[in-house]
Amino acid sequence: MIYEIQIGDATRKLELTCNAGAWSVKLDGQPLSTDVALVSPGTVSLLLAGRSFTFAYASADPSSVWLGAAGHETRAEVRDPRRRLAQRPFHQTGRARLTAPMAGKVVRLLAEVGATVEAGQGLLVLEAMKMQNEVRSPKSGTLVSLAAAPGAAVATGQLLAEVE
Amino acid sequence: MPSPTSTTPPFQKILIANRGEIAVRLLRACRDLAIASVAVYSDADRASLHVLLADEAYRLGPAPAAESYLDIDRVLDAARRSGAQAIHPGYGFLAENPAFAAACRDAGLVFIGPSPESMAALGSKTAARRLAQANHIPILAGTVDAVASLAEAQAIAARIGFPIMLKAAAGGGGKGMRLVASAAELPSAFALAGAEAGAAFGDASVFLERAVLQPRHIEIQILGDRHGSLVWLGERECSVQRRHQKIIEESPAPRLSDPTRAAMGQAACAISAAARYHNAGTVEFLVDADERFYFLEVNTRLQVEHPVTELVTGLDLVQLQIRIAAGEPLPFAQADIVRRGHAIECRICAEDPEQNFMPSPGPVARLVSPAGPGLREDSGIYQGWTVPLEYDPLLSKLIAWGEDRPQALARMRRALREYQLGGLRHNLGFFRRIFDDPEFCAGRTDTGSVARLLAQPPPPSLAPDAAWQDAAAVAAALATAAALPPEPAAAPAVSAWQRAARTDSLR
Repeated sequence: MIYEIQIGDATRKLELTCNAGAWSVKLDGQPLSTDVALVSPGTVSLLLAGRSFTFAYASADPSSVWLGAAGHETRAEVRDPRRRLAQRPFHQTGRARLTAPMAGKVVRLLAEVGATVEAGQGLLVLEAMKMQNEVRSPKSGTLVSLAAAPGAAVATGQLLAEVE
Repeated sequence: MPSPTSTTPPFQKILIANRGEIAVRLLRACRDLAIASVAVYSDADRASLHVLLADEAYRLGPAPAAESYLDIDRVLDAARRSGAQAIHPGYGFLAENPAFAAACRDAGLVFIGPSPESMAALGSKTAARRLAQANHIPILAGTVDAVASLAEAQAIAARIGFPIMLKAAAGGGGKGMRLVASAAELPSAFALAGAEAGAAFGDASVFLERAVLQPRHIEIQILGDRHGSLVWLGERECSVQRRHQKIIEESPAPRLSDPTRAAMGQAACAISAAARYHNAGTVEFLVDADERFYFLEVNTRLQVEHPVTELVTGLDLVQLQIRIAAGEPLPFAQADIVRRGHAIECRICAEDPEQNFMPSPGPVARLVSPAGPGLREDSGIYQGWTVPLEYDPLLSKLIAWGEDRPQALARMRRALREYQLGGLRHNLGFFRRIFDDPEFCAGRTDTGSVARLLAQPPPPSLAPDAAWQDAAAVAAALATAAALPPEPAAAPAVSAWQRAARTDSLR
């Protein structure tokens, strides 16, 4: 199995093979001497040049993995080139998309569609876990859409507004 | 110190009118005292840990707190149905509501906390400030009464000068609280503070006071019985805050002289005695750079950070609360109280440090809790549970004890390294950074420390090294391989790993 692993800005190519229950690993084309053990569901142990790494992991979906070990954690995007998982669409327009930073409820709107807004100006107030937070415009421009109404529940990452 | 005098349980059954980690903490105290515990829950909390651990559990109502945990009639109805003799309110929700304490009394139930009269005298910050003034305890310039309108707030702010602090007259926890640096910021801050206070406490009134810059927040734990005996159990420094909410508390306070500590303890006892206070309470002070202290407010309840005091005094504050509520006398006097070592607590919250600590509810997909010498964890979560978005983001409290501050910090550092929490955003990484900060380790903190730390880029020493990055890439691939969908006729004995290996060998 060949995977592309993206962690932060770095993309690594990883080749996994299994022979008689033992895994061997190639990282970026180079064999990696490591002993691998799945010690319990959600935990993998790696011995790498004598160092012990115990990773706790959780997968939100097949292409995204959370990993934590020894006081560090990261998110990894995993692509299997052979399976050609859907490429993520990339938005490159002059339009700034403002998404909900948290799941919550829209308390009130602070601007109307068509209004000229300044960078940092509050566009709406979102409440979650009893805290009210102003969601501010990322740039100066015109508020071209506002996809939320007072009282509406929104999920993390949901589109709230667009400023052009 | 003498142990509690009574050996018979003070009650047979106690209802816990709360949720999350504090409800779990309270029912554990009940179990230690051989008292049956009754949990209550909203529809969002059916699977919550406090419901799973309690002896009995009763549904209150829908998820919104106003229709469940804040609904006095529903809580009292659950108490009647369960046959509980007493109610512990925890913190938040109804804990500082004198009407609830009075309703318990009227229903023939013991409220584990102060009397409604003491709560009314101390619970409102404006009333407490008046009482402090009358007892010659220093307070900050500002309004003693809630301000009625923005115009009034503007007039008062112009008189006492900026910066000012806006605060909710009812409740605490940073909700309804805003630092206002200039007159231009006042209108929007006043509206937000009022709305937040109204949503959180059902009372939108706010007051304002002159803000002390770079202040330290130090509080005194007090405990009094129903027979007039009142002691203070040392202080807690709670200066490390974000969004005006404490995230790290410790005792003793670094850099506090013994005379100041004693003077604060005496002031705390004086204001509590003036309100004829009994049960556990906390008197909060601001301390400036010259160790002058100013009375802030009294929290007429058990505090979130009470374990810090428990670890340095060796006392179980919740058990003592229960015994005091049953009418037992305090089993010790001020001179008997010995504080030993240093304790420090981290509040682990479902929030995103990269998004200005916004709450971030979600699934607890993976949880590995730390253990070992000098550690305590008061948690309200378990792996597989989903944190609801309706309530406070506090997930768990991690508390470390050491013979001295460096040992307590080292143990916390070790615990933060062991702790793994995946599936939702949390502040563990932020704590790791704080415990690596030379200023914090030297005890030089004030309420602006977090903001100053966040203004700097994280030190490179905190980033994982190349070997960790390599190992993470391998672990990510293995995790994906292990998560392959089950084969149609997969035998239960075949693990995902074996399936992954088999799939691979077929390629």
